[in-house]
Amino acid sequence: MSQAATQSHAQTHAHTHAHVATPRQKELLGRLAQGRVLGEFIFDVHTHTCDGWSMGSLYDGSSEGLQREMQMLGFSGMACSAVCAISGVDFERANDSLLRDIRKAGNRITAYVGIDIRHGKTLVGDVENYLKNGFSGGKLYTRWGVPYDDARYDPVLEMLNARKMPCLAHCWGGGDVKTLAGAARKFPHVNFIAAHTGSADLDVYVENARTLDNLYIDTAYSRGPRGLIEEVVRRMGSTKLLFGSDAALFSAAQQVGRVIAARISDEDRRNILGLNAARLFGVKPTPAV
Amino acid sequence: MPAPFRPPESKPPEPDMEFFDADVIIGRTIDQEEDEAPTVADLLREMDLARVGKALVTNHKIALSTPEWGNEDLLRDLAASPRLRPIMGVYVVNERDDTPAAKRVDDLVKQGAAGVQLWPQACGFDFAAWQCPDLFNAMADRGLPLFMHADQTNYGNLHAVLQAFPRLKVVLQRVLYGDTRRVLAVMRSCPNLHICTSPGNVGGSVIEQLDRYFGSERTIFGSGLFKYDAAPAVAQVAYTQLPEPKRALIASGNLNRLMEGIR
Repeated sequence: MSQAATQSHAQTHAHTHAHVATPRQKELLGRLAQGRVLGEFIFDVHTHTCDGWSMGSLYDGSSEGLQREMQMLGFSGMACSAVCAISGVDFERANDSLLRDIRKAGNRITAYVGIDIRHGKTLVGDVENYLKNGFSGGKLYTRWGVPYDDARYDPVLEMLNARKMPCLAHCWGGGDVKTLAGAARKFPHVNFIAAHTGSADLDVYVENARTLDNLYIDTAYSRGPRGLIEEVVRRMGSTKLLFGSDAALFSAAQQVGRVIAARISDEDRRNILGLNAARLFGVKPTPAV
Repeated sequence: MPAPFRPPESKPPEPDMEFFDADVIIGRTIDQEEDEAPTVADLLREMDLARVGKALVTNHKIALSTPEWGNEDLLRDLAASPRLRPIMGVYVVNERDDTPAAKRVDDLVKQGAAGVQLWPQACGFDFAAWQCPDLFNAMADRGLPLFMHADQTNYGNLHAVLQAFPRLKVVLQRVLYGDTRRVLAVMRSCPNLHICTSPGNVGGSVIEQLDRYFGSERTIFGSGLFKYDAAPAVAQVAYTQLPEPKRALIASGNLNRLMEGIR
């Protein structure tokens, strides 16, 4: 760890010990411990259905399971992609499955097309078809060996750009974030979301989110340590950080608990939980009751 | 763009569950300044905020190969807090203490130990049946649970120890969600294995899945304070889609039962 990073963490430690919870934070922590609807506007920008995927047979990866947990927590909305569409299993079958789910769910799910950059010659036409039929964003994944700023992504990102739709991208550290930043510079009308803030190279996440208007970062991280969210807010404010759970791969309750536990102001917490996403996704920020 | 999602109805509030935390470490990590180290006062404040009633606590000195000093500090720090009990350290190969294992375990129990925390990876020994059989047998005889982070061994060694010492109760902490298949296999063949919930072990519906396969008697609430916050771990259990009695077992009942088994 660099000296700068060590000092930065030290400041966070000092801050976490000094924090006094507001009445609203205490109320939310109480609701959390009782398994109650939280009563804030919460929009989860990073969820998955896992139909067909082997881990989906271990966990409840159905859209119904996802919605059940969201209802218990009182999330107002979620944006979802199909794991098997982005992970190279079966682009069409997985996106089709999610398409059926969002038709069943009405307006409860905002769907990202899982963009498999190695899908072949029909990729552009297929993505366009999904966007015409109910999907309203894109989800990218790094494991294709194709950097996000590679020209092969340009035709599909151009479609999102023309429609001013958001695009979530799996990122695990600075290398991925830097190439996503390259795409963000090329396509200024796409609001890109770099996932998994703090997984590695926090400086790169923060610097790019701070300096690029159309690059946001999300909170999804299974091992997100105490103080990470505070550190991000201290360094760049709260308006570019979005709540993402990575459910149904992770527990949405555990992930939203990280934001509620964070030693930040009520205003910052509301921004992260949903107000920032409401602007991005064009949703009225009404808390679920 | 979609209109806001309105759940059809809210879940009725549950009565306050008691949470009993099996995974807390206090004291200074090697990358912290001395005055940054979380204290008992910090811990009690965090527990109150997150609605955690009781906790088992160890400290970083035990992980740094100094169990004598770690135990002294723990007993001193926790003495005034009836909500907290110590998970203590031991010498594994008598490197500075040739007292027989049974005597050492007896002493720990008399001092109020709630368990022994082992750090094989950090302290340079193997988690293996041949490494410290007297210690494992003594702990099993006294019903004293063994606590260990999952990254301190591998699942093959864990399985072998659990099979070789079937009366030894092991509580595995900080399991990673990616290891679920390994965990399920070891739990299936080793009824003496208990698994902590968060952190890391946060796969969607993983608690329900453990219940479906093995019941809820071997899943134990753990927060990972102070590397992690307590509230996320509390939430994972509180929103589990299981009947309230099973949630109560996970939140505190199972750990209370393990504590009652110490003799």
